Amino acid sequence: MADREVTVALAGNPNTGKSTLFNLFTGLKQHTGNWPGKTVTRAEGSFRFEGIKFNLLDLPGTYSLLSRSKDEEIARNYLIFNHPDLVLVMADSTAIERNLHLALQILQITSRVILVCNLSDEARRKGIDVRTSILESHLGIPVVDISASRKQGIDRLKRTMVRVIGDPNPPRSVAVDYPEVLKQEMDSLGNALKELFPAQSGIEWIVLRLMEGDPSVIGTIESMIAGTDKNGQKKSDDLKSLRQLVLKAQLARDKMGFSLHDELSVNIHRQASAIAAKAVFHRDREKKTTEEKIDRIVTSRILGLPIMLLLLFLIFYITIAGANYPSELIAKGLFWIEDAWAGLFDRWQVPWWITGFLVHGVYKGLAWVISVMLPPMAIFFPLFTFLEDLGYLPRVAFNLDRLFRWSGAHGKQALTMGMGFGCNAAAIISTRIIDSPKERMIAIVTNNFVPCNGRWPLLILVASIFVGSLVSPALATVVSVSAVVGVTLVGIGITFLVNKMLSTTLLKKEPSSFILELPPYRKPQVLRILYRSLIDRTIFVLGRAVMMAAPAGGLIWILGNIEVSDQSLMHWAAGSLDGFAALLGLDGMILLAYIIAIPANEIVIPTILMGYLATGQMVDMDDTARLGQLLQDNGWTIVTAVSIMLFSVLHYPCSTTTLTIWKETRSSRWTLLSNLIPLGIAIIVCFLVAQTLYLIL
Amino acid sequence: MILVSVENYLKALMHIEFDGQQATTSAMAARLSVSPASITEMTRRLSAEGLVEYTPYKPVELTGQGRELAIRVVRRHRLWEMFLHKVLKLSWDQVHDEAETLEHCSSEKLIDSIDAFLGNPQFDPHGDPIPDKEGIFPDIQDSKLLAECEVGEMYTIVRVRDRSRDLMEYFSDFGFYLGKNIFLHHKLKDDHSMVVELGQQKTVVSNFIASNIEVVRARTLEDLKIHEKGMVDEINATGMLRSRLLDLGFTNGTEIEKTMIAPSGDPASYRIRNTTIALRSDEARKILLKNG
Ligand SMILES: Nc1nc2c(ncn2[C@@H]2O[C@H](COP(=O)(O)OP(=O)(O)OP(=O)(O)O)[C@@H](O)[C@H]2O)c(=O)[nH]1
Ligand SMILES: [Mg+2]
Repeated sequence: MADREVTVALAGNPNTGKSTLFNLFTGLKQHTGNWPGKTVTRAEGSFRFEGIKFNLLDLPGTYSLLSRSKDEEIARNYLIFNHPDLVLVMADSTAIERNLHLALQILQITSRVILVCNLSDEARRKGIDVRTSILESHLGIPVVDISASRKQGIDRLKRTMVRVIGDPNPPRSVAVDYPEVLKQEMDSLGNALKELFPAQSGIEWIVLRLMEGDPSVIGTIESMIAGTDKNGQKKSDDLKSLRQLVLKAQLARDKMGFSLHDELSVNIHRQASAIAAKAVFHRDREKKTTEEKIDRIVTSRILGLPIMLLLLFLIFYITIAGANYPSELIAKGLFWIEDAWAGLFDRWQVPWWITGFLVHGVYKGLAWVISVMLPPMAIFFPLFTFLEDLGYLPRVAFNLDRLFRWSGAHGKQALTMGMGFGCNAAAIISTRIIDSPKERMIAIVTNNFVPCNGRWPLLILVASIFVGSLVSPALATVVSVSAVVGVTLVGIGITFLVNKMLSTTLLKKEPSSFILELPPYRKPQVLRILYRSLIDRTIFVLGRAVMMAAPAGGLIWILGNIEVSDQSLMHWAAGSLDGFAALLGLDGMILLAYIIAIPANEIVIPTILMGYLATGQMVDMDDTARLGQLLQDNGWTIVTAVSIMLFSVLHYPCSTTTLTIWKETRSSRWTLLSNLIPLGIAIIVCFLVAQTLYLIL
Repeated sequence: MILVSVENYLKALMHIEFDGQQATTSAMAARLSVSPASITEMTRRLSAEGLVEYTPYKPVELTGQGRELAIRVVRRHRLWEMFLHKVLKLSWDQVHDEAETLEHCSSEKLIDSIDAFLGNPQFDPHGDPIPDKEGIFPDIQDSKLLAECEVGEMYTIVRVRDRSRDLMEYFSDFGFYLGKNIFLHHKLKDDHSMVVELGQQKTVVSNFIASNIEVVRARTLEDLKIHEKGMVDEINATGMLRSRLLDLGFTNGTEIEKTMIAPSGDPASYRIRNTTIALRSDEARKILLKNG
């Protein structure tokens, strides 16, 4: 029997575990995280069960379908206009009442819905008892309680999905009590609309959106008419009647004398609380949990900010202290292979330039990338993911909002910056959680100032080799960590300054509002974190580095070995940049590396090393101490180290990020500015710092 | 000659003292709408009974005993008003006249039962304080006249001064009542009248009316102390902010508790419908709380 294919949409309030369930079903790795707004675009995947192919769609979280918010548009329009065969409404079992508000709205559009009460483990722990059978009888649809992260109730959910899909009659779900006048208008307008779109379900809800004058809904139905295969005359007639209908809808709303949104949300909330009151039971309601105590401490006046700094410090400390030894081990191994390989080629009498290009160029580049970057990433990412999963990030946004507001930006920028620590390109997409377009633009332009995972290795490496070596070995780690934290704070500080600059000049605006849900702390799942951050992030970043480093290594080897009037091309290129670079405390090779590394920041360090190696004598590089030696031989001092760290944090986004900025803003002006502003700042800061250091030292 | 009852005399005297005026014979006569002669007559009689202190050509004063009696009358009056308003649903322009009669023919026992039945209210329907059994008045909030308020702020009506039928009817018609939140939109320059918002409705208020309404700054989420609970009354905002707040469940009658304050004092977080939402004080100020 051929597979039946059905479409299933996952909808629900933010942070209810939609992506977690999606991953569980599809085996994909959609990002999850304990803060609202993690998913901003829809993701698709599929799985088979009992001969049915389920095409699953993970939607961004929404609080309601009633408003005009930008971040909720994708989910809202999808639910209204696409007709999934089934909608799984994910609800947080610890806050059924609020979650029912959305569920009731979705039920007005389609009744092929299963209410999934997720996080049931958390509810149990908090003494909240959700009676699914009572919910079922009040809502008229199946209700299943599960715990997505603990994989509880998943089979029952799958079987329920099969049952609902197989049922020829959709269930009769509960109706929302609309006020009488509204109901009449909805009926008459709905009938008119139905003539235009006979196949469309959830007509009533579209009427409501028309009454609200929702531009995206109006746009969508207009394009639906344009997209039909009717002839031109009929189309323009339809369009005309549609426009009239829109006008009528808005007149009707004005006539009603109450705010539609007010009236509906109050009504639906009331209905939701009434249902929740019957189906949800709280044991020991007033118990003050440890969670509240922790929250009180991490947001306290005295300890709030120090704890944030301490955590940042701790993460880097563990990373740097922990990465040292494995780094060396890996380097030893890989370079032993290089030697063996070169020896082998020698014996086989492979031409020198092949050995040079492949072994000392491409392979060496790879070896560097892996030994330098793998261990710190393998430690840093899991730690960061741990904090993210715990739910600490929204607290940071909460603590820092005042500063963001001072700088004319949005508190949720803290969340997008948090994403930036991982990957700036992903962070640019995540700025969609910021409603106000101007504040979002600010967040996009300044995201570059948080170092992404492509830049951490350089910071960590340079800090440990140059800054750490300034002091006694006992203090070395602490000092290098402080240097990394310090330069990170410089980046954050500059973020605030540029925020302020933009918000008072190019992006002047009224301060917008800040509303952020703070999720409860959740016990991170250590194994999953390890897996996810190792496989997803580490391998991803490393893969990118390797992919970019191999050709770069080859290119550099070529540049270093093709001579034009007695000097290698590399010398020419680096040499011509030397003068300018010196002003910034850098050298020509470093700048050249930054140009070569525009596609990926990850390869700056390998490029520099390969550049030095290709132009100079071959040094035997079997541990990181020798690495320092190589850099010093090429004229590096503490000034170079400080400058390159600053330059790394400040310079400009990689090409992937730039492309993402363009995709998200569709503005060449702002895409350009997102590069020029950082570059200008990087040059100014490096110049000032380097020149000051030269004067002092 | 219309005679004035002992109780009404004592009550009027107390009101005059309360308002900080001098209880001259003519002032008393004006307040009770009787002739000065009957006031003089009564003053002499009560002075003999030790209820007032009277020296010729000086204002009359209540003695301790007299004050006690007067307070008891006031208590009966205000509790009756409250009863008529709350239980029998008489509008606040109707209750005064009825209470005027009832206050003179009710036993202490009846009054105490009414008090208990109403849950020991502290203020009558016009916002006047009700003395308790021991004759002690509740603390009064520092209120000011609407006429003296600042534009762009939200206030709560706590008391009305003039109880004339006319005015009370006006108040009822336009939806002014105690505990109602009122937003001072702007003042008209020339005649000192002002435009206010009551709920979503805009109304013009004359200076005379504004001088008879006492208000306090409206209580909002911002005023909650940590771990203090309140009940949402309405959202004083429009557009996206309003819809987002409504979507999150900040609707009339929802219970809310302040749980955390950020290190810099802003934003703060609130527990609502079993979720925790962070709001800046700029937004918190726009969410009004129910009074009492
Ligand atoms: N304790 C517990 N935690 C869960 C469960 N399901 C998900 N989580 C956690 O809840 C958090 C949110 O999960 P996501 O899957 O990212 O939520 P989402 O609904 O996709 O969120 P948005 O994309 O922001 O709308 C993550 O930290 C998950 O690990 C569960 O059943 N029990
Ligand atoms: Mg998600």
